Amino acid sequence: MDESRRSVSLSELARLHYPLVYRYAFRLCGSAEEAEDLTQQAFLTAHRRLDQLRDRESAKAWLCAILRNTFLTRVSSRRPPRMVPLQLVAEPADELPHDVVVDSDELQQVLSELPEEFRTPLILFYFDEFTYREIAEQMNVPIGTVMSRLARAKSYLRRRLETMQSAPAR
Amino acid sequence: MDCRTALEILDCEGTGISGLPEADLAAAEAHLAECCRCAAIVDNRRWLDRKIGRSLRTVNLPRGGRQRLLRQLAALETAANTEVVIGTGIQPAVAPGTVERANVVKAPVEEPLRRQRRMWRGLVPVAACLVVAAIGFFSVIWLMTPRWSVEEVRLELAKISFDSLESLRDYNGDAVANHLPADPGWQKLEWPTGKAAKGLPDGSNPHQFAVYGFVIPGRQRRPISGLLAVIPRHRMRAPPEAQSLSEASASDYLPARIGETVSVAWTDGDVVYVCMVEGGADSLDVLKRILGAPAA
Repeated sequence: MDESRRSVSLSELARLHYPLVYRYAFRLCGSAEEAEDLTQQAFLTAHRRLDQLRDRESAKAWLCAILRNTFLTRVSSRRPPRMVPLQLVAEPADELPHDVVVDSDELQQVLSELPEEFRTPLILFYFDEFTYREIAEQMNVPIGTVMSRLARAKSYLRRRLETMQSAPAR
Repeated sequence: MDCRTALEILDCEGTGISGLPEADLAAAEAHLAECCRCAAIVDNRRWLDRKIGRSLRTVNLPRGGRQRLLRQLAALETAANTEVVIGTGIQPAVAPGTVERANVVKAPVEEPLRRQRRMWRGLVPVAACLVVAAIGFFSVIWLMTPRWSVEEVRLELAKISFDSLESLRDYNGDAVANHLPADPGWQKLEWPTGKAAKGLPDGSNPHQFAVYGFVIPGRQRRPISGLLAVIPRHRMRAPPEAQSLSEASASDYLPARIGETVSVAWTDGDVVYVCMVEGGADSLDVLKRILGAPAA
């Protein structure tokens, strides 16, 4: 029997992919408590839909897609947060100084400012786990859309990091 | 290829997983080899990407989070025996008793924290509605509870005689009204129907107030009949201000079953007394005299 089609349990997938799914959840929502809750919910949903999993190799992307859907369902019931219109973001300077410090909290703050459709490709790109095609499949959009959103999100991220670096420390 | 296009392509190429057309990538790389400014920018961006990537992936996992999840999943998998063959969706055969076992095991599985919090938040408006409804309900009950005026009590007393008093049911209303005044002078009167309270109005259940019949005995004059109503104070619309019979002023004469009458009302603690005696002001003076005299 093909190895990818052998019997598998969700516990096994959880052991393998829990760190990735939790980190993705944390970067999407920005809260440790909510991230754990989202992760738990995503795995419970995955448990109910395990028969939809096509092959073992796509489990990671499948779990991330479920996590994102869980997140979107949850935020859709809330008041939409104030987000930046990316069309108005200016291009950053050519280079950022090499001594720039990328603080995790500041990074999360910038991520939270981005609309979800820009935040998701940015997170998945930097996780270095998925190809553009896989990101596009997870988001159910064409590859060109993913690349376009990623380019604008990266541009915004660089600009904000530059602003944060130049702002006087409080 | 111009600088902007080359930078866009190479920015997307980033970590080498872009899947961009080879020709575009080659053209961008060729531009980079010729343009020092773009080369510096791309170098800077790739360096920054690595730094951002490291920071973005650095997320502390919750202590014991994976174990908690694995315990839940293990419970679910044990319950439903859900192991499936990937790609086929084939569920294993369900053994007899599996459903019962599933119910038993599913019970302790924790609901997600968020759902629980949402449930509690959802209960807040429900609780508020219940409080408002309870307040409204008791307000309506309070408003619908009959309230009496002294005049209405007098009219009720005017309808009865000693004969009809005998036929009334024993008082079953608020216990606070089920006793005679504490003043020992009342013990000197005669109580032809006994000292057990009867209830009024006759059709009400429970009774709204208690009533006693008495006779003021006399040797040189004929005996004077009287009725004493005892009403819980909270059932009165406007309790009398007088605190005792001696303070109370007589109200107008009222023809009653016991004859022409005069009545007085006073408040004593939790109850209101309405006393109606046969005759006029003279009868009331006799009663006051007897009550005011030292007990035999």
